[in-house]
Amino acid sequence: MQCLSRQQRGMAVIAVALMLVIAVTCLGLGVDLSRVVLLKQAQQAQIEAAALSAALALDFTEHGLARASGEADRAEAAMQYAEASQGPWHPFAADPARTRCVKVSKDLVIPLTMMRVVVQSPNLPLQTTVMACQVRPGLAEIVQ
Amino acid sequence: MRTRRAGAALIELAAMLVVAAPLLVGGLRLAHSVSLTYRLQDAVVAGARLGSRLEPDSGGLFETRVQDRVLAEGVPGLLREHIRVDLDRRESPPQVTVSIHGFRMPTAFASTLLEGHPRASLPYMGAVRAE
Repeated sequence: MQCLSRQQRGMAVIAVALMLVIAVTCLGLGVDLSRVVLLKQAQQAQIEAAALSAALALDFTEHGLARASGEADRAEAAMQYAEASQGPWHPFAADPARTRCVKVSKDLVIPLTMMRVVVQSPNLPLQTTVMACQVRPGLAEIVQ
Repeated sequence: MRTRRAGAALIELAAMLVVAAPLLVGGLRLAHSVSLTYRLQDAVVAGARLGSRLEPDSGGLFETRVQDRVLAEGVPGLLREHIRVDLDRRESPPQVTVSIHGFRMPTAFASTLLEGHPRASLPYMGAVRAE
């Protein structure tokens, strides 16, 4: 009888250990996922601001292009230019006098803890891209 | 023998609860804190978006209208005095910044006071829109 009791106690320890492993894994996954979502959201806001500022800086001169490029640099993002929101997009503006749209992109690499098992990678790369066009001098809009 | 077994089960339950309860409570509070952070960030961005388009002559209600927009997101516990709206005209282009100050946010096992975070800045375009 005593032997059975000891066996049962052993089972409880295994069950608790298993439960703890599952709970900690779920918690870790939750923390990773939360970080990804919050960082993505913060980056989206930052890139939107950079794209709007860059589009506003365009004044159809080389100087305006340089200021727009400076806005992207400040956000540590890459920028492309176009004459219309449909593109085509170029890394350099061919004609400053006709360039009124910008596409700002930023890559973010988020180191993972528990989620690396799910995505099979120690990092999760995220890219945020926002396009903005100048509607008229001093007014810019985000375009989808 | 049954009493001894019941006693052992009770001790096991207690030992498990000591470990599991903080994990559960911490997890729930952490989830709540993440959800609040997400909603706060969303709210300040919505406020900044409105502020960036508000005409300068809005009857001196610029700040109030932006705060109303942030409050409309319905973040629990967020009050008007927690929301700071700054319009910096020295920047080029001028910037509207909406940030949270003095809001106490629960974390996993304690709480933290938010001062200036989350924040959202957008270029101010209201002056042009009015033309």
